[in-house]
Amino acid sequence: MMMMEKNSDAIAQVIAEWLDKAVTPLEPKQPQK
Amino acid sequence: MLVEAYANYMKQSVPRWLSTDNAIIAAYLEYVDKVCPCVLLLRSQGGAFGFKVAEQRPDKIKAIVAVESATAGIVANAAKLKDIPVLMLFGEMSTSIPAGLPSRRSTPSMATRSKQPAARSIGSISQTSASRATAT
Repeated sequence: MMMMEKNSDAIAQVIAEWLDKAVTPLEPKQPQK
Repeated sequence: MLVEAYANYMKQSVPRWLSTDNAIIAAYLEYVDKVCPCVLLLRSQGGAFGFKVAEQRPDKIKAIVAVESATAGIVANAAKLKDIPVLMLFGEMSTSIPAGLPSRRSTPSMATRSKQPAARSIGSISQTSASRATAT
């Protein structure tokens, strides 16, 4: 049986917030349209 | 039709037998050399390969995100990763699978911390090789 993840959104949120602080983008951020 | 689709799907997979680890690492390094600098996103068994690759290409890896990683690399090589920020996450699916590994057994489940926002209840360890060694 496939194991379905229960908290992928929460994990993705943690990853996104951490990357924002820990990693400098190679390219400058594009202004949002 | 179904058999053909399955065959095409399986062309994307990478088998792992006792003899395939070196070939996997070689291909992984070739890919990193081609597309990086980049952030490695590793999960479970993929952590074992990703950390080995990062140890060999620390100048190409901007950060490592390891979700339920099987390992955190080889301790003797930890100094090679000293400049790479590392985020290790545990707690994924902790409410839906039996506790069988020490890391899962010691990780409080999401459900048992219901008063806290979900994002905070995921354990995270980051930044240094020392903390990586502590996490394993």
